[in-house]
Amino acid sequence: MTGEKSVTQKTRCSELEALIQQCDGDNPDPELVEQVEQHLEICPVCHEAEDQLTRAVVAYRSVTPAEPSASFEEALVDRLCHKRDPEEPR
Amino acid sequence: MEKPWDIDLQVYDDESELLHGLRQRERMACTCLLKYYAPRLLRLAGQLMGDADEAEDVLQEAFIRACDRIDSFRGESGLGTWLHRIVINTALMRLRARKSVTTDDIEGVIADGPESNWQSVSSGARDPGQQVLGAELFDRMSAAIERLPESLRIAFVLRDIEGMSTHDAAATLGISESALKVRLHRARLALRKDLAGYVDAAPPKGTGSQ
Repeated sequence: MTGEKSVTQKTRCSELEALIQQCDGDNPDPELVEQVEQHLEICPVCHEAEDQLTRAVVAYRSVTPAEPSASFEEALVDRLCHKRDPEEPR
Repeated sequence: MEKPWDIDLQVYDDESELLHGLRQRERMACTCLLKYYAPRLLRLAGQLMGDADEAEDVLQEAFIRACDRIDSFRGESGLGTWLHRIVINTALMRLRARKSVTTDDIEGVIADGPESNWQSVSSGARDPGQQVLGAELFDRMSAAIERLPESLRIAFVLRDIEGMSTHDAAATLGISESALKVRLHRARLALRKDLAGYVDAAPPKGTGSQ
């Protein structure tokens, strides 16, 4: 069955979880990876969940990052201005 | 109060002038480089390392390394792309030195959902852009990314946050594209579980400020 939809957790898909569990993390079978990707395309639960996650990631990426602390920046600028002596160990 | 590093970032007309200043180790050039690139690179370092203090160490090491090698920068990619690469490589070197990146710690996350005692790297000062996303979702996203096992977090940050291609992200990590995809799918699955009930609050695509 594709995309079993739970009432309490509509983002969970037991079929996807089972497929991913079968994949060897370091040396996965490309055919199994292809099955995972095909599942993501056809499963309505996964499709919706992936779409929601993608929207969240897009929004997350749009947030302007906070600046480093002033003391950190000043100390680092001081170090960057100091030209490295070629004899100095890296 | 005016800060000594409050500067006009337009003092250099283009990247080549900035590069010339950096090669001369001009203070203004070094300051401009930091002001322009450090915020984004610090966030990248934090996402990769999962630790705010280590993120600052990575950023410092990466900028020092970049300035030491600025004479060899040929401009084949943009300065920003080059700096991103140096930060990624510096972070990966530190992570590899800390411990080898394995998949040993992944299975529990998939099966049980992550447990967290992380302090969010990104939970500090907020800017107006964060209001677009909503503070709660931003903090939950940050924390959820940090909770991912290291190998999954790095794959997710490189591919989905940094927008690297599968080929480039796999090459950066020295793994096959299939292995990268598995890590990415595991990361996304873990995030789906971790963020269940919250991602609905994310605004539609294309509403970001970038």
